[in-house]
Amino acid sequence: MRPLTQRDQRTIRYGGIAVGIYLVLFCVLHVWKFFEHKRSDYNDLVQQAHLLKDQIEPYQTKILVVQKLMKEYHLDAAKLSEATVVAQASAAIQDEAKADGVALGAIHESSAQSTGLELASIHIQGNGPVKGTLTLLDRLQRLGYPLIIDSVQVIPNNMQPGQVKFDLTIAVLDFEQWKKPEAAHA
Amino acid sequence: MKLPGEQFIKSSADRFMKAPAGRFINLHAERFIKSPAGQFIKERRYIVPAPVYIEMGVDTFRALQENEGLELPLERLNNGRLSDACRENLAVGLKAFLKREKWQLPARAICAIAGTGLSLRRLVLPPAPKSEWQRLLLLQIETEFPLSPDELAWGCRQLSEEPAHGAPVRQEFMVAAVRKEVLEDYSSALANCGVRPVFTLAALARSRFCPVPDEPYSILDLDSKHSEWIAFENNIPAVLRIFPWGTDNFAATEQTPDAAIEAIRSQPGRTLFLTGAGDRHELVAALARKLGDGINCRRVEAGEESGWSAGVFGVRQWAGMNGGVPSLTLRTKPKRIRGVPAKLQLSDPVLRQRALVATVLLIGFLVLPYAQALLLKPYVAHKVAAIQSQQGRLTTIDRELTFLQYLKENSPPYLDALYLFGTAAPPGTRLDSVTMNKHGEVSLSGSFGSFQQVVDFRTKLIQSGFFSTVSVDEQVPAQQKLNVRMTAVWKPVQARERLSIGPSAAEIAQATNGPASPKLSNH
Repeated sequence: MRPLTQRDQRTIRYGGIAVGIYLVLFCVLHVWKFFEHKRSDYNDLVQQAHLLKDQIEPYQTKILVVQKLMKEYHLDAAKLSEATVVAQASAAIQDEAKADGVALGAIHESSAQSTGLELASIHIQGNGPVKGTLTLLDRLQRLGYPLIIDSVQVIPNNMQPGQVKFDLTIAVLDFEQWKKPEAAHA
Repeated sequence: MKLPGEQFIKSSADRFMKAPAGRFINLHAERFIKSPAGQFIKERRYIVPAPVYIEMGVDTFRALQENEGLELPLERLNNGRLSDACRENLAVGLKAFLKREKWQLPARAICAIAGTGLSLRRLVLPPAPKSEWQRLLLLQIETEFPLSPDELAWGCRQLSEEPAHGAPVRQEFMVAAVRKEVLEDYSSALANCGVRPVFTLAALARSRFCPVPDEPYSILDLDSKHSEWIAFENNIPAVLRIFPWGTDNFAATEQTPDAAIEAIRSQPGRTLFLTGAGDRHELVAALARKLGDGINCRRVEAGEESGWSAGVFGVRQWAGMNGGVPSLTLRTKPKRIRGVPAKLQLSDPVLRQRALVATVLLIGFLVLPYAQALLLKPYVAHKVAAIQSQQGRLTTIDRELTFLQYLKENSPPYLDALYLFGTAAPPGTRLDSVTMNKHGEVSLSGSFGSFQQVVDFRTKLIQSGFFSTVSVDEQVPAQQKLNVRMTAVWKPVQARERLSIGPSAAEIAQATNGPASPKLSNH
């Protein structure tokens, strides 16, 4: 093998430098792409986190409203069972009437009406003092059950002065209807 | 003696202070020192310490930093360089004097060196563009000085005016040069003590301190065993000489000063400023006597405090003007002539330190976004996944809210309606039946005393704002009373929201204490 001339050595040196620079640039580019990809992923994640934040922020107010209403109606729908709510509500009404000094007469329970939002309807007749009747009317909706008084009829009890007869129709709401995703009742 | 005020503190609370060069530097820490009056006052320390002014004389080293001075004897070898013992003493003394903290940057020092072994020449460059001056100057130095420029530490000062439009004209420079080793000795000795020195000539510095006359003059500085004499013509140094006698051995070498006397007399300048004599009045008188009447011998003293000298105060005056750079600076590397571009010298430790900090900051700036992505991504991903897994709860909250709002909006206001009937009904009214449903339809039957009472009752119900319609369906007179059947419809919930119905707090209190007639309040 003939010895390398200075020109050959210089050419090899320059070639080596060029290859070295190429390799360095190649590696740097790949490393940079890797890190850039990571950074891009991170930015997407941060963007996603911001969107979630925007989505969640209004719920702070909503939670406060829900808490206030639950406290007002003493109602926690999550603890109620559809199978037993009518019986429990009926029992609670009778207990409350007894506590208010109101005597209940006939009680009729009927199944849901056509609207589909009611689980059952309770028809109650009773007799009691004005104050007790009004207290019962006030507290019926705060018994911890989804009750709405459909109609009220109050007439004086001519046989017993100071007392009134009343006739109530109470709807027990089907709270499960609100748990369905397609429900839009508001 | 109080030095001229050269620094001021903006306020005691400020963290910035103005240094002599006019730069604001950051206050870093404080410690207490005892003042001359015996009180403890805060000593302020800075990242950039106060500059140090140094005169490296033939026999004496003097330094001044702020108001503190230092004076140390120097011991030289036969070749004029400092002895090892002297350098060691100098390092110990100067370190103790500077009290530099580890976190402080090296103090900047303007060091005026004695003329021992120093050559002073006036060089004239042929007409050439400015970019050529550096090269021509090196050639001239090569020619005029016994050593090559590479072996010299040298500096120059441009004496002639620069051409107005850059046209090539002859340029005159004053060049001072000393063996490179001498300056490197000084430089390394000072650098070891945490000082970053800039070198100039002590003889030139003294001229800043003396009241310079318009005519030629000379300055004779007396050190302990040597004297340094410089003569100026047109404020340009003409001659610089070292005499082997000083304040300590002047009497012993009574004959020797004759050579100096002859040299001083031979100069055109008739004024001789005498510095460094201290309290040696008899020496000054003897010198003046020898010089004769033709020479006006004027004594200039900087003071008798340690470290105070005309050279030190001269460099301190330089620091206060011209950007703090002496007009002639000696360098071990080729000096850059003003206007001629030079390479950036990274050998300067401070410059290197700053370049390192800048590089680290730049790398940090570039790397931080990627490092953030790598380090924080797992944490953010975990958080996002946790939130997404809980998103089902949001639907539950929505449904519960909708349900509860439905319940609230569909709760009929039966008690409000009964309250309104109670407050609107005149005395003697009898209600036989009240029927209401959740749609707001109200049916009422009863008996009133007169037609007017019916009208009033109806009017009050309408004025309450609670009902949208109130109609009297039937009125039948019977036995001094009027049997009435009425119907009404209350307003929807949105319209009723603004109403305030029910007894006020005062009415409830009254009802609790005794009988009262409830009132209807309408907002």
